[in-house]
Amino acid sequence: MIKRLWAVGFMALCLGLAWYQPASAHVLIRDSSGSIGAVLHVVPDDDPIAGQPSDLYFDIQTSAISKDSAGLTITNLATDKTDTVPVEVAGSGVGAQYTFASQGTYRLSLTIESDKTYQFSYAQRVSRGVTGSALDKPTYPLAQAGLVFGGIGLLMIGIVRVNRRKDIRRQSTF
Amino acid sequence: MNKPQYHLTYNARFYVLASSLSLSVVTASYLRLNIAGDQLYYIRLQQVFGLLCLLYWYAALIISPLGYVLGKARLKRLEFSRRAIGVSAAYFAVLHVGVALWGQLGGLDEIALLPTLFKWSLGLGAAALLILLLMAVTSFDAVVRFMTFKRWKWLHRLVYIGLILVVLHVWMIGTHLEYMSVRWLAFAMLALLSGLETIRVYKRAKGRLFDFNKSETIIIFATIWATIVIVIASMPAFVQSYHARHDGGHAVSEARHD
Repeated sequence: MIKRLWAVGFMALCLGLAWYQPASAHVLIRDSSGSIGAVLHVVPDDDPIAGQPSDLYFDIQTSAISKDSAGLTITNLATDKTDTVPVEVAGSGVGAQYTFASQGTYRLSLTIESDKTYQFSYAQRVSRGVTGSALDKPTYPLAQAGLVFGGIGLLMIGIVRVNRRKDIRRQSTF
Repeated sequence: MNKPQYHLTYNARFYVLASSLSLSVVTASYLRLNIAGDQLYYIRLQQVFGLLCLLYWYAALIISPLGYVLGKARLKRLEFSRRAIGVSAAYFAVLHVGVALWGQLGGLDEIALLPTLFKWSLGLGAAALLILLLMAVTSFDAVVRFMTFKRWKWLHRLVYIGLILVVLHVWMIGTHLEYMSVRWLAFAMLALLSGLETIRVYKRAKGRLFDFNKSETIIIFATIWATIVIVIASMPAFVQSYHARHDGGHAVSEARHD
């Protein structure tokens, strides 16, 4: 019974990790004066796909924003081409839809005009979809070593656990 | 059966803790090698650590009530590992918080800039973490002896309050609850846990506080369980979720572009 439970638990963990769907998430950005914050939410998966439309949603840390007080521009840092993007304002949220033309890094600049002017800026990396400007591919030797040693560690733990199962069974009781 | 001379590698808890440590290194390294952008890396890393924390926490919670249904003897070794599973949950919770605060947000000061709903959710998560850490630091045999088992047991019942807090925390800002499949899975897991806990509480109280016949027992069990399940299912009506807000925003955005 216990073996079955372990097997079911292990399978559930594997399935859970395999089934893991990267969803949209949140990025906190400050305005240029550092006085208020905004949470940026990008669909799909906080990881836009070049050539396909992405939804951008800013949740500003203010009570409400009036219509026509928000402006969004997106600049491709490789080509310096800037697009003004139409926005929709609802409460303290600003939504927009934009298609990133190619992979690369883009500067999102949001301006809010209320009692004072707030400027939010965020560098969005687009690393999926249509290839345009080449993105740098950084290497992480520490992560490579971590993956190797962590993997070996898990394997060794498993082997020792199986080898000593009888002693463990005797020792691991109340 | 005589117990062999104590050795760390004969203790099942050691394997749970060591594998958790290795799993965290593998997770962090694997994601780093596969995600180029730093911000996205921190987001995914805190999500995976949060998921692992929930899985370990759930496993630690369900072992005991499962023992009442399947038989304590069958699960005695799993029950022995339970404390280590709980400590692993606390370990992943600390990693989740560390990555979210210092990686994704950029420091404690940044919390002040978050929208109110996020602050509430982080506050609930912090309280849940505090409870989980309290459980972890009191999970040693020496502490149990020092506190006496009865007091220790009472202290560890705080874990159920922690679970409620963490469910609210996840519901308010957890990103994967956007998916209906994940919502249904989470609901089914909570319903299963509450059902098993109801059986356990009933079995412990039976004979001491009351004694009902079979049909009365079934009716009482069904009523209590249904009430708990309805409370869980009605949570979206009472607790605001961040997704509900921005889903509305996207709907506006999509309508404009149609």
